[in-house]
Amino acid sequence: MQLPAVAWAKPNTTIPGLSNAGTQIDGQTVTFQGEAVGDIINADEGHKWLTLEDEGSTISVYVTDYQANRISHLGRYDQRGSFVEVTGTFHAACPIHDGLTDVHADRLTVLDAGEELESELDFNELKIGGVLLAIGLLLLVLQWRLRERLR
Amino acid sequence: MWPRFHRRDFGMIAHYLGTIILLLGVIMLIPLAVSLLMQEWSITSHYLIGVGVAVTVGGLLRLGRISPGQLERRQAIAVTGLVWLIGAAIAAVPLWFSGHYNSFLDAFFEGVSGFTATGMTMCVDLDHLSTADNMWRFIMQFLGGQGVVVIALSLGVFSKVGSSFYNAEGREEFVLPNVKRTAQFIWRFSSLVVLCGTAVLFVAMMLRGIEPVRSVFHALWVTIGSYDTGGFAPQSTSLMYYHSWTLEITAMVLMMLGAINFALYAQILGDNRRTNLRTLLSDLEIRTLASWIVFMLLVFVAAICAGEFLDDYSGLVRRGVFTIISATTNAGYQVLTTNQMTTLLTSGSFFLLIMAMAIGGSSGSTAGGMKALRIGIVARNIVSRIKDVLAPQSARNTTSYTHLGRHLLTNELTGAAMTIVLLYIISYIVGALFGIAAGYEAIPATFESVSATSNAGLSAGIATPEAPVYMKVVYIIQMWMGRLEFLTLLALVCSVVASLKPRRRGVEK
Repeated sequence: MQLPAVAWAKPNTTIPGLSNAGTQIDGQTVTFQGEAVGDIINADEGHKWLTLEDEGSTISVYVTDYQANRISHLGRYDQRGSFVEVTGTFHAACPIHDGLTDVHADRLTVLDAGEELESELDFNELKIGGVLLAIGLLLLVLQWRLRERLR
Repeated sequence: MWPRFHRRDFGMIAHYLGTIILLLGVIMLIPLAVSLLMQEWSITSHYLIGVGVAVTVGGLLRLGRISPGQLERRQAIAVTGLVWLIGAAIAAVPLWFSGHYNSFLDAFFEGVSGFTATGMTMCVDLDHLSTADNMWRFIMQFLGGQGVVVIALSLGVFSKVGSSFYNAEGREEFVLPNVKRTAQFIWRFSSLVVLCGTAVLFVAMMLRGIEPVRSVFHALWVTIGSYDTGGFAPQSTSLMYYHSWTLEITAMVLMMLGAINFALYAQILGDNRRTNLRTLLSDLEIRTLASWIVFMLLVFVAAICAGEFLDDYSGLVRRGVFTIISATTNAGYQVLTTNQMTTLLTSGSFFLLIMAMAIGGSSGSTAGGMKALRIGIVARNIVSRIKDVLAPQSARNTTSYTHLGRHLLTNELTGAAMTIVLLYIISYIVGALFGIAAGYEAIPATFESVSATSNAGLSAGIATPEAPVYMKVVYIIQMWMGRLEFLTLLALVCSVVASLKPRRRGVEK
C-alpha cells in the first residue's frame, strides 16, 4: 500500500498502525503524531532516540540532536510529554539499526509542549490505610497477648 | 485414599500463611518509601492501604493458631500453594489503585505474573507508571524468582519448619546441609549478583544519557528482571527502549546466571576449584541446557536466514541470539516487537521459540519450563532402553548420571521426570485449546499457553488487557501451576476435595 508522501501533510497513519505494519509500508514516508515518553536516549553522533506513544502503542524515532532539543517535557508519572508530529521514513526492520522497527525523522513539529503534573496526597485514602493498619496491629497484639497467656 | 485436611490443619495453615502475608506487608513499605522519596504523593496512600490490608489479613490468619508447632508436609504444601495466590491478591491492591489496570482481575494477573516471575503484563500506559509502582512490580519478581518461602526462611521468619516447606516450592536440592543455610546462601548469592548487575547497567544507562536517578532504578529493575528471569520491563518497548548493545549483552549474562541451578554455584564456589570446574562440565543438566541452547540457536538462525527478516549479520546476531537466550532461560525480555515476531518471523522460527520456552532452564534456578535436568534424564533413559534392546538377555544394564554427585538412573526417577514433563505438555495443550476456542490462531494460542505455563512471559499479543476474562483466568492458573510444577497444587486440590467429602462412618479414623 503506497502512502502519500507530502512533506507537511496531515498525519497519514498512527503509531498503532505502524506498530502493526508489515513490510508493505517499509521504506515509505509516514506522518504521525504522538507523545514523547520516557527518556531521550543517546544514539550515534548528532542523533538521539525518542520513544513516541499514542493509544497504548509506542515506536522508536531516530532524530537529530536539534530535533531532540525541541522536546521540553517527557511523558512520565509526573509529566505530560511534548506532543509532536513526525514525518519520516518507516522501517519494519531497520538495516542500520540491527532490525529495529523505527522511523528516521525528516521533520519534527512540536504541537504541544507538555507540562509538569501535580501529585497530591489523597487524605481519604490515607485515612483508610491508617485504619486498616491500626486494625492489623491490634490483631497482632491480640495474638501476642493470647500466646503469652498460653505459656 | 486421599489424605484429608483436618480442623487442626486449617489453623496451622492459616498461621503460616498469615506470617508470610505479614512479611509481604513489611516488604510493601519499600515502594511506599520510594513514593515518598520520589514525591509521588498520590501513590503513597495506595501503599499504605496495601500495607494495611496485608497486616489485617495476616493478623487475622495468624489467629487461626496461636502457638504453631512443626509444619507437616501436607500443611506445607497447602501454605505454599495458597501463598502465591493470596499474596498476589494482596499485592494487586496498590496496583489496582494506580489507575493503570482496567480491573482488579488485571491487577491480580499482574501480581501472579510478578510472583511467578513470568512477566506478562496487563498494565495500561506503562510509560506513565510511577516509580513506586514499578518498584513494586520488580520486588514481586525478585520474591518470585528467589521463592517467597526461600526469602522467609533466609530471614528467619520461620523457626519450626522442615524441608517440606522448601520442597513444596518446587525446589528439590539442598544447596547446603540444611534448609535455612540453603535459603541464606541463595539470598546472599542473588543479592551479590543483583548488586553487580545494577552497577554495570547503571553505567550503561548513564552513557545512554538517562538521568542518574532514573538510571539507578532502571538498572536495578532490568537486573532483577534478567537474573530472576522475570521479564517485566519498566517501559513498554522492553529492552529495545535502551538501544544499547552493552545492556543487552549484560542482560543475557544475567539471564543465563539466573537459569543455572543454585546448588551448582555452591559447588563451584567451594574449596577445590579444579574439581568443581570438572563437576560443572560433567553435570547432566548443564550439558543438556548448553546443548539445547546451541542447537536452538543454530536452527533459529537457519530458519531466519530462510526468510527475509533480519537479513544482515549484526541484526541476526543481536536480535536472534538475544531472543533465543530470552526464550530458553524463560526470562521473556524482547528485542523484537510482537508484530515482528508474529508477522515478520517465519512460522518455523516462531515455532522454535515455543519449543525453546517449553523446555526452560535448570531446576533449582529462577527459570521455569520443564527443566533441562528432566529432559536430560528422559534422554538418558531413551539411550538406556536402546542399550537394553541390543544387549543380551542375561546382561544387566545400569545407567548413571552426574548432577550434584553421581546418581543411578532408576525407573522411579525416570517416572517422576516423565510425569512432570507430561503435566507440562498437557497444560500447554489445554491452554492452547482455550485460546483457539476464543478465536485466536493456533500457533499464537500455543505460544501464549506455553509462555504462561513455563513462566517465560514472551507474548504473541494475546495476553493483553483486551483479552477475554476467561483467557486471563486460564493464564493465571497456568502461571501458578507452572511455577509450582503442578504436583504441589494438584496435591492441594485433591486434598481439599477429599476434605470436603463427608467422612464415611467406621471406615476412616
